[in-house]
Amino acid sequence: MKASKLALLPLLGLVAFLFAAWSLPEGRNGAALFFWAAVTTRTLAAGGELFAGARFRSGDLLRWGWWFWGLGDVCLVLRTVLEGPTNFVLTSAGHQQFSLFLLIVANLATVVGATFMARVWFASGLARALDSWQQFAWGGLVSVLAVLAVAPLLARSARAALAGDPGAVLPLVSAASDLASLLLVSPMLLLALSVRGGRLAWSWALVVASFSGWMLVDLVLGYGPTFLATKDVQVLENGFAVFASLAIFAAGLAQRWAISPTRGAGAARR
Amino acid sequence: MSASLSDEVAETLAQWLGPNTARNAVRVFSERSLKKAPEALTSADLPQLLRALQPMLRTLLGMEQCNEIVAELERRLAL
Repeated sequence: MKASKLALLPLLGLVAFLFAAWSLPEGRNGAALFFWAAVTTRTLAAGGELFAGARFRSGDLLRWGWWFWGLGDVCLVLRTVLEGPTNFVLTSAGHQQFSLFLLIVANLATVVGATFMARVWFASGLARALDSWQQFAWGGLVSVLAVLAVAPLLARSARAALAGDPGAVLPLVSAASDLASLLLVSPMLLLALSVRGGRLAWSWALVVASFSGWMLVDLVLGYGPTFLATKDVQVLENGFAVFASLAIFAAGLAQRWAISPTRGAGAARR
Repeated sequence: MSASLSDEVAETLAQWLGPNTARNAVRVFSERSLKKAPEALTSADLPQLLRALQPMLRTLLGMEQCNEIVAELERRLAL
């Protein structure tokens, strides 16, 4: 399978999920569908990330980027399984604390992983080959989009947390982490644009696509309740999460294939 | 180094980095580490050019793949 075909996977996953979710009979809330979609796609995401990271040596930035992202997704899968489709397992304070712990580790790992991936752009020296104003313009655009996407959710959960609502801690942690990660996307976007036409392009483009998916999740959660029905917000939130998870799974495979030794050496000899 | 040799380095790198970045990388690292335009380089300059390119390749492709590409270039360019 070519890396370009991998790019269809997140789109197909999104369409299939939306079709299944909106085909549910009236009165069914889709919790089981959301649960299994999250477990399946996040497990794939973790697998793709760990598989990609395993191709690199310990001194390589990319190993740590992929592996931190893999750790983050493993924690999210565990948390999703622990909570179950209807949060039925979280009956004790211990479970709730463990769930919060997993969420914090997952978010920290995602931000650390994004930091490693963003550093690739600067450490490679490619940043010096591009005009500063172009980098500044892309960085500014991505930052504005990130802040616009996350701001409502961040403000809402921060207000609730300050008012003493313990349930607001989880969305606050997630929103803050999303903002931090999204602010790191512009170097990855610049890298994806720089290597277009090469084997690395699909991997980086899919990484950016995955972050775009998470940005859409934040947009839906932040602005959706004002314009959409509750069910539509849930369906879109979960659909974009499916898209984002499948995109990073595909990015991991594309990364692995782009630098596979047999393919690289063979192609170079041609 | 003739233009065709510098093009050959760029063509090999283009498989991973894309044509624009590969060409730019050869130009930038020639100018930075050897103070020469790619067309002005001689075969004797190639080892230094490949050394200069290695940190970038290692960062983008990992140590193992970087070593393979450099070895492949050395074979192709008979260094």
